[in-house]
Amino acid sequence: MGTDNSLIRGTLDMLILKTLAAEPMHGWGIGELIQERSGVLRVQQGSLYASLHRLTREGWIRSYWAETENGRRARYYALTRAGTKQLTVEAEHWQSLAAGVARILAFNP
Amino acid sequence: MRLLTDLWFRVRAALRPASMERQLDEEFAFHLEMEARKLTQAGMPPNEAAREAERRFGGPVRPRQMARDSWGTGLFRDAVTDVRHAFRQFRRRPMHSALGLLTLGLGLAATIGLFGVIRSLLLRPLPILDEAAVRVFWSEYDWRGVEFDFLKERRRGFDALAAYSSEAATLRDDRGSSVLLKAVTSAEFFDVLGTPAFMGRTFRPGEDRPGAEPVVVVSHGMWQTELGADPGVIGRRIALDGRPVTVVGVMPRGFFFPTPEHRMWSPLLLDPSTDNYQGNGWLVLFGRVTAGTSEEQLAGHVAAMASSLGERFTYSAAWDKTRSPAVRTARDYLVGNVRPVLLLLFGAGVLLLTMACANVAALVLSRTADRGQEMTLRVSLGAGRARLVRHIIAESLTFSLMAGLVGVVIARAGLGVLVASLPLPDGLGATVAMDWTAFAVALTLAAVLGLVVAIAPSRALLMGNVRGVSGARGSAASGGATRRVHQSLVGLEAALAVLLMAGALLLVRSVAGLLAVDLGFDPKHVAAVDVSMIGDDFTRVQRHQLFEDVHARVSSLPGVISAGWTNRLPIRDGGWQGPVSVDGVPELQGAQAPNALFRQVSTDYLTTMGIRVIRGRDLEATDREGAPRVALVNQAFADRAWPGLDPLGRRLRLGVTGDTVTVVGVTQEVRSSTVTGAHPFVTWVPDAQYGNDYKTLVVKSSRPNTGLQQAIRRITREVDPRIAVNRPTTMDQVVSGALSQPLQLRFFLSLFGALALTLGMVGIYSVASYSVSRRRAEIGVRMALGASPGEVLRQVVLQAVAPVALGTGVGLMGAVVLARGASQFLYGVSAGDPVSLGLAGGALLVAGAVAAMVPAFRASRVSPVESLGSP
Repeated sequence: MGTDNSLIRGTLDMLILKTLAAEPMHGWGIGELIQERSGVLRVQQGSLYASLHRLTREGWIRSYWAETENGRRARYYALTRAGTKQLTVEAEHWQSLAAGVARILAFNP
Repeated sequence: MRLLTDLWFRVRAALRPASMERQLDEEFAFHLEMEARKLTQAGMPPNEAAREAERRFGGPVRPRQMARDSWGTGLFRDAVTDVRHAFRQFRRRPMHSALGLLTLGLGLAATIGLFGVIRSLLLRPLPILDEAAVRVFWSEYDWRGVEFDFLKERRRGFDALAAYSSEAATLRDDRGSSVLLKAVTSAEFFDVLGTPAFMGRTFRPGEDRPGAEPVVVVSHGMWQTELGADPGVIGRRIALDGRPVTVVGVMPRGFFFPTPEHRMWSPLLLDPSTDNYQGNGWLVLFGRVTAGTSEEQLAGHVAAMASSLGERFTYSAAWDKTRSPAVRTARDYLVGNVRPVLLLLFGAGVLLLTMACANVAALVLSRTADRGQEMTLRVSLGAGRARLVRHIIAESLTFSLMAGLVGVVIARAGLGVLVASLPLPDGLGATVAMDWTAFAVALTLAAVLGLVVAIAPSRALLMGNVRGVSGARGSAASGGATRRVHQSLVGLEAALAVLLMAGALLLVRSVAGLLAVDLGFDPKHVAAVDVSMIGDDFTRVQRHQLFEDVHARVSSLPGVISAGWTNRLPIRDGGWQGPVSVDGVPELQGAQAPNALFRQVSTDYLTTMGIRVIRGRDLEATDREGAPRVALVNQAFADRAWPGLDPLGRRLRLGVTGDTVTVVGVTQEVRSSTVTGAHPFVTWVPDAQYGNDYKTLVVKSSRPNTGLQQAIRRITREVDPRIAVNRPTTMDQVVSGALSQPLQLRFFLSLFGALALTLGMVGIYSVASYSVSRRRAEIGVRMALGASPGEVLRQVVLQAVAPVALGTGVGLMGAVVLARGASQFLYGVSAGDPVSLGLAGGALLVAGAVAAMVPAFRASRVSPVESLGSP
């Protein structure tokens, strides 16, 4: 199997928020964008929707039904103001975490 | 904010599960479609692509479950399941559940209904300013104008004193004449009450003195109805008692004093030259206490005022106002006599509610224990204990809230009956209403009771001893806790049931005594109505003739046997008495003159009422104006004045009129003012010798006559349209009105007592049958070892009755103590009446034994083989 490319618990929320920061998107599209942009990450498709609904319940994103370019009805998700704030918080947290990990890896006694 | 969004999402999801699922379906379908399209574009065959998309998605079940879990509706879904389960349980034992619901509902209804009444009457502020400062003087309706003026000058501890009395007044307008109740008041009346007028003004100083312009203040209700809500009513003249009177003020809506039946207030004429001022007492005195006066100081001031009265006036022993001076608060004066009744009924309601709770608790406990195996299974399958406790609470809450609704419905329907049964001043009952707070209280109370009832079984579960709750066939030891709780509950129910039944039986016996009282008159088919010719536009001669005409025409109505006039109806109208000096008996003269009721009656009155003349003669037509003054007295008076001597021909001086009269006859005893108590002295004088303007007509018919009152009304209108009639009634109504409080108390307490007995039996039955069902195996073993069915039967019954006997004992002791406090409601029976207590205790023991009989019989039929065969 090699390297496990599944997501670290909790980061999926941040990635969803980040993806939606650019523009509203439907569930399938969010999963595709995360995989495409990261190049390495694989999203558990089934658990994606539980996350989306939980984020909606938290009030960070909202959902609405709209038509896709192909004229198909789909549920779109969009970032709310609370979600924008939450994204900033989570991104900062992640950056400092990543920086810490990077410092440890760079440490050579 | 986040919390709100979260809650809103959960609530929406919980309330619209179908819509949530539909949207989920569509969302997933879209996802699978897109994924499959991506795969076909990459060159995969379409049906393979669909399968691969489904696989990547995680199958049809798990994603859906995960999404649902993220909605946060789990708690709610469980609750719905539990409530559905609860309803299934009720349907499984419909009789049991219905009985439980009904009893709990009745208990709740009694409690909240009485709570509503208590809130309306005892807690809601009166329509007067700072009601605690308004105090009513002792000797109500017994103060003279001269005494009022005397005290007003010597008042200490009071900012102001006022006096009032009640009068009927005839209002005349285009539509005819009507009689309204009026308070005649001193000018300070509204100052003491502190209520300003809604429109116009109240009285000015001096408006109660001779020479003042006649004015009247009317109630909001009178302004709205009789005066047509005329916006220009202030300054308008209305015809009161045949005189033009100027309306100077309208009081605000909701204001009343002394009762809501008093529709107007006019100044009372305090003219030192009149008999009203110097003569007999007829006023109520009340005052506003100076701010900052303590109760002790006030009592001191009142005592000082009383003794100053003694220095200025000479009182006969019977009328001595200096003897027990005391002031009551306005609320005590207005509704004081309903307080004990309300508290009694409220207490009974609470007892019933407690019993109903004990019963339901026993039911829930047995049911939980019976389902022990199910519980054990669910725990071993991984159901959390918290989940099971929630299950028990949900069931109990569902039940109690349903009972709460039942209670609200019953309370609403029964409120009218309850209010009508209370000894309230006229019109005050209309101010009693059940508002939303009563319903809120009912449901809150129901919810609290539901939680309380769930405590015992929940505790057993949480203590970790699932087997203790479980094991319908479990060991005897594990059921010990359940049995102890059960026995305490049965004991409690027995004690409360005995209390309620003893109370009911005391009332039943007391009312039986009251109904057996000899009234001294025959109320059968006797109707009565007041006829008023108040007004300066009648002359004395005219009045006399008009009363004669009305009497003659009513007497000749078909079915009428006879008719007569009186100034006061027995039992309904008390009062009007005065000292009677007995000629030739010095110790019954002057200050020692006995008080006697003063009754002016016509020649046919005694016959119409069925009052027998036992010596001498009845009044006759010759006892008319100008003829020698005569009187009849009652037996009690004759016995007191001339013991062993012939009363006929003796002479009396009547304090009320100052006349000297000759006794021509003696009547039997009549219940003149109350149904119970000692017979007051009575003097009967011919009303033809006095010029009354307001009389009560009594009419005896050969059969019930429903059209009689209309016929009388028509006759008076035809004789003279200025004549007004008032207070139509029958003597039967008068008597039952006087007995209404004990009658209604008997009704309510009997109802409560019967319910308590039923509840007790249900409780004993359910606990006994539960115990038998648990001990089938043990009983089987004993029968296999040779115990006879009779022995088993006896043992089960004895075991069931033991806690009942204990509870009965405790309840009887409680009854003796409590009944003593309620002895004011009893007539002819003592609070510790052994018959009532014995019957109550005996009835409960017998009922308990009967209730235990059915399960005991079942136990005696246990087959040793069958019970040994079961696990």
